[in-house]
Amino acid sequence: MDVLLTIPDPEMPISIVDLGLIEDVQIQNGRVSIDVLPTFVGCPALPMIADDITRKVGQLENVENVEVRFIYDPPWTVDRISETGR
Amino acid sequence: MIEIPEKLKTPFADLILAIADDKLMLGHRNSDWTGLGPILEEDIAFSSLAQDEIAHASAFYELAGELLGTSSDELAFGRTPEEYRCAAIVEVPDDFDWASAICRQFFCDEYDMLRLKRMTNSNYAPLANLAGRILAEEQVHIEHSEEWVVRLGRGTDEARQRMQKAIDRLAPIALWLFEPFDGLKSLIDAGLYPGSDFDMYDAWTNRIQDILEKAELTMHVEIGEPDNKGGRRGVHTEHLEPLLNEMCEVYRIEPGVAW
Repeated sequence: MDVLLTIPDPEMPISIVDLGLIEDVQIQNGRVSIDVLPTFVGCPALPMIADDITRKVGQLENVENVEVRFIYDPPWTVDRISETGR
Repeated sequence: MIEIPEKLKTPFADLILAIADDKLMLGHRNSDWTGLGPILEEDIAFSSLAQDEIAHASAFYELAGELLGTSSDELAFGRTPEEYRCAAIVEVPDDFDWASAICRQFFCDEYDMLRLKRMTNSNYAPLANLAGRILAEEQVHIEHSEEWVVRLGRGTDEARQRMQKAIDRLAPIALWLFEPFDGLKSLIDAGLYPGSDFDMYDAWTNRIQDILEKAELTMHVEIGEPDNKGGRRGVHTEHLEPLLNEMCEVYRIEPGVAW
């Protein structure tokens, strides 16, 4: 899912992967399901991030359907930020 | 628990709607301070509180929506006043008295910490997980509320008087947060909302009195059996309807449409 590396947080120049937001990616028969951890529940960037993921992943070859789910377990913490991110 | 049994669905939904409704109304009231806070820092604080409370409410509405087969928007904006489950304290206006806004937040934050802790022990994982996530965010809310209660209580004469007046007015109203609702006991027995309301009330009062002592303020209330129904059972103050008329105005123009 290298395409996810091209999706930045809307407020800073760091990809959502390096920010540690991506918890799980499931691919089955062209249907992609991505579990995302919000940094905080009220983050106003969440709908934008969901749209970016749906659009960019949806444009990939062989992808029929993209589902983005925001989940709360495990809780996002700062130590999920990658070395690159820091 | 993976699936909520049919006979527990209504009380469980009521429990989740209670926290969602409390937070939505509180967030709406908090947002009234945007542009009007006494100092810039607090203008921003109340705007952030509003954002948090409304987002928390939204997440609880999503959860309730899954149980009831409806959307979070429909629940947030599409119900009649009797269908809401918020408690009186989030309905009554603060009349642009900042001491009242701080006092209201203080009573609600202390209650939410306890309510959320109980929810983290629920055997229904989606609720336990969400409550855990939100509890972590409530920490900054409560630090803010407690610090300001102390700061105002030990401040100028005017600050102290207005805080005391706010406590005297709001504390009896705040007791309605603890109103029992139908089916509450069955939720406790089923492990969906483990704990005791008596313990919860004790913990709430004790913590509040600790902070008020530091603030050199007092609270004199005594909880008893309610002799009539309140917000948890759909009987609301006269303030809820105007609040809903304002908050739901856009939604009501064309319910369900994307804005």
